[in-house]
Amino acid sequence: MIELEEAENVIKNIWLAENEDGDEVSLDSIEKEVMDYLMKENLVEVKEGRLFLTENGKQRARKIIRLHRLAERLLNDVLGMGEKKIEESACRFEHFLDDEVEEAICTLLGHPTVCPHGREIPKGDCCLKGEEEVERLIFRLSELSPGDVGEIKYVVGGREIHTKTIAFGLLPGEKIKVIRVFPAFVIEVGNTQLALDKKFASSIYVLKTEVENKNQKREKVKTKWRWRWRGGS
Amino acid sequence: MECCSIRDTETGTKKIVLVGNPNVGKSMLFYSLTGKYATVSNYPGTTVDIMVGRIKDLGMEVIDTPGMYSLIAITEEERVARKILLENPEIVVHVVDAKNIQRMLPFTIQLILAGFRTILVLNAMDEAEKHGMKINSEIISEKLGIPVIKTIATQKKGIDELKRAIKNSGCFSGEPKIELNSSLGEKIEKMESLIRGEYPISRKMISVLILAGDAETVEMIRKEERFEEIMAIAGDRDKTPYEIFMMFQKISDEIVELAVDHQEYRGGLRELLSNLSTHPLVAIPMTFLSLYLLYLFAGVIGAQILVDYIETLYETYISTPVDDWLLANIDNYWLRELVGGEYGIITLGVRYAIAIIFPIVTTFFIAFSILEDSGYLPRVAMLLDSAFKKIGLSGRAVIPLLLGLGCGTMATIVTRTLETRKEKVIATLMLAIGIPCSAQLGVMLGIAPDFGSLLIWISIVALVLIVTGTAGSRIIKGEEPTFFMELPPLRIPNLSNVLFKTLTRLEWYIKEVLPIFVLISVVIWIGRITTVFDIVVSLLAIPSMAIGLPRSAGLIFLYGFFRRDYGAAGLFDLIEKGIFTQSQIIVGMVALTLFVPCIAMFSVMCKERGVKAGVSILVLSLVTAFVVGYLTNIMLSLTG
Repeated sequence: MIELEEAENVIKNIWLAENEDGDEVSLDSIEKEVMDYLMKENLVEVKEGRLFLTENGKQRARKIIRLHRLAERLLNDVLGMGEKKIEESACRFEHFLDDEVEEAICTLLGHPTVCPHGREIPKGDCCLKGEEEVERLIFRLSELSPGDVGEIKYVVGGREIHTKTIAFGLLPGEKIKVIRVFPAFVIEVGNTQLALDKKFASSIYVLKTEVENKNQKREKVKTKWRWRWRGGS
Repeated sequence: MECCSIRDTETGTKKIVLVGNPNVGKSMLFYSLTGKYATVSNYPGTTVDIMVGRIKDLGMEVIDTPGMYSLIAITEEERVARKILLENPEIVVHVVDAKNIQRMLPFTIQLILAGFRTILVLNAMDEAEKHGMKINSEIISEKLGIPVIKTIATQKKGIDELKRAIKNSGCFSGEPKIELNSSLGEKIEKMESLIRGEYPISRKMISVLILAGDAETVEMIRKEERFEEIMAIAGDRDKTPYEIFMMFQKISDEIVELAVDHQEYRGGLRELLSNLSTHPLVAIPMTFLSLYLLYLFAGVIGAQILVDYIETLYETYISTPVDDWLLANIDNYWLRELVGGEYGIITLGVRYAIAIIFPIVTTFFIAFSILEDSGYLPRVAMLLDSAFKKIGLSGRAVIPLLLGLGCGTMATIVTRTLETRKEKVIATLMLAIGIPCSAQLGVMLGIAPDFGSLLIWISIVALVLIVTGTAGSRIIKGEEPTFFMELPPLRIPNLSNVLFKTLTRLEWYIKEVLPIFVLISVVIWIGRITTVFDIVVSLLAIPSMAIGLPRSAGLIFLYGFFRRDYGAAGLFDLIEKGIFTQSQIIVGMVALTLFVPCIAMFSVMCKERGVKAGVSILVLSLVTAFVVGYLTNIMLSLTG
């Protein structure tokens, strides 16, 4: 089992070096058992003394990265853990989450596209299908209805959107209330009303905390979610 | 308090800069402090020109800045505001909307950290109290280490306290009491220690701004000896802006927690109205109602009743006596023509300005100021956003376009408030080609033979505008605009605000218009002596006749280039003489509306968008005017 984890870490690092800003993984740094495992599973190949991922390996690596970053989102947004704890746990999560749990978490979080550090989360099947089997807690602002209340969790999108949301004080942790969704989105933050278009609203992810005047429904949402969570793990 | 009065510290004029978010009452406060009026509006982003005034009893200069949200500038206005802020002011007065203190306090903290001698003004305390907020300004003052003053600018409450605080602000000098205790604190300290140069803001704030990803600050310190090292510590700056701002927000939240007591608040009638006003079923009729208000003021009261009245007065008491006097006393024909006659300074230039244009513009500005102060315009912007997206604009562009119904030149300047270049160009294009200014609009409303003709004119111009926008959004490259705007509370416009604002705009307009009108008279005079005038008029008569207008119509197009309203006034004159048929009037209205922007607007266009864009727009509108005029003529003759 140790081999599996280490092997997965190796292909993760190769992937990061190839696709993001990770350092190149040198051949000598890998233990023999791990290397044997990687070759046996057809995950890596060696060309001119350098390591490359096979198609198989790339797929596996994307999956690990995806799990790691999804786990970060979950621990950060829903459970509100500290940064150190998140990193520790996410590094373990990435090796054992099964497909069903992975999809459940992803859907629950509203198919997020970036991790809390702003790095891209590779898309899974569920993101592409946009399945909504699990009751969600995190929504894009553009998916909410008038009267919904929530807490901003994160904002995706380019620098422009980030700077603007920051300027208006739409920071993670701020409570918002949706007033209107047509002809444009109108939300209330503190004592201010803001109007924004759909494009902007879909960059803001919100943890829905309350459906106004429908407290019973809120209870239901929570129980159902908990049950699912246990069932999945 | 003499020990710390700032007058003792240095000599020379001290500058006070007012900063704050848009629509928090900065301009109103400026007026209360100086007795001079800056445009006070309920619309984010109308303070484009910088207002400078003096506090007489303190001998200090006050500068009102365009709205800004933080030290990181996004829009052009914010860059202007920041530039002023960096010009070494003595005191920075940060004006916040008291009920939104939690959202605005982070900016105060940035100002303090930047090393400015800051005074915090909690304005609109009455509204905060209505929202059930009790604010203890002493706690805030103690926590931040700066004076905190409560005001209600609209009722001139708290102004004396503010003046006193400005006078004694020396007492509050000392280290800011803010500590950055997040994980970023260490990074900031390291960067700070490497910066050597002298800058208008503190090294600490420079480090913070770099971490927050502000490109201009990076440029500011590029010459630093250890620049590379500093940037290396800053590291990957894509991740840090949120952390930085959340750190400020956290400090602010802690202070607000201690100082503000919230009571249960249930929205009153005004909130209900405010919410209703964004409902499409209410907002659409309201929008038509407000356009009708504009029409009623500028089109009926201004263009018809007042113009009639003032023109008759002017003719009787000025034009005719002047002409008579000239005829009796001056022998030289050309000298007489300079002042009187058909094109003289008094009989044409000043008459057009005072008798025709002035009443129309005044009534338009009154109506526009009422709309602006009521807070209704941002709601119109919200309502029209999705429709505007189809022509490459965001709802935000409603403001310059509506203002363009007043004066295209002023509106072209206001396009600065739009965010993307693409939006600015499209809005300028639409203003130049098809949005009639108030004088033009008023005259058009006055000369339309009947309602049907008016509808034909409106439909054709609207069609041209839609085509222009659609084509523009396809052709002009650039980012699609996003829409994001604060909706200020609906307020009942304050009569004296509306009047003052109208006066400020009129002052600007008259300064702009009167000299040009006089100049046009002189240019025409020179043109007539040298016969250049006749040549140009006969040249312009060719396209005029091609689109089915009488020969004399060439003249109004020439006028139109000098000033659009001047051309419209000319058309008005010609039609009163009764030489136009009904369909000729319609063709004339269409062609003149679409015709080139006036000289003033053209020069502003070149200044704002560049000479190349300015000239292209000029040529485009010339072609459009005659092509559409031609088509209109054919259409009208076909349908009879």
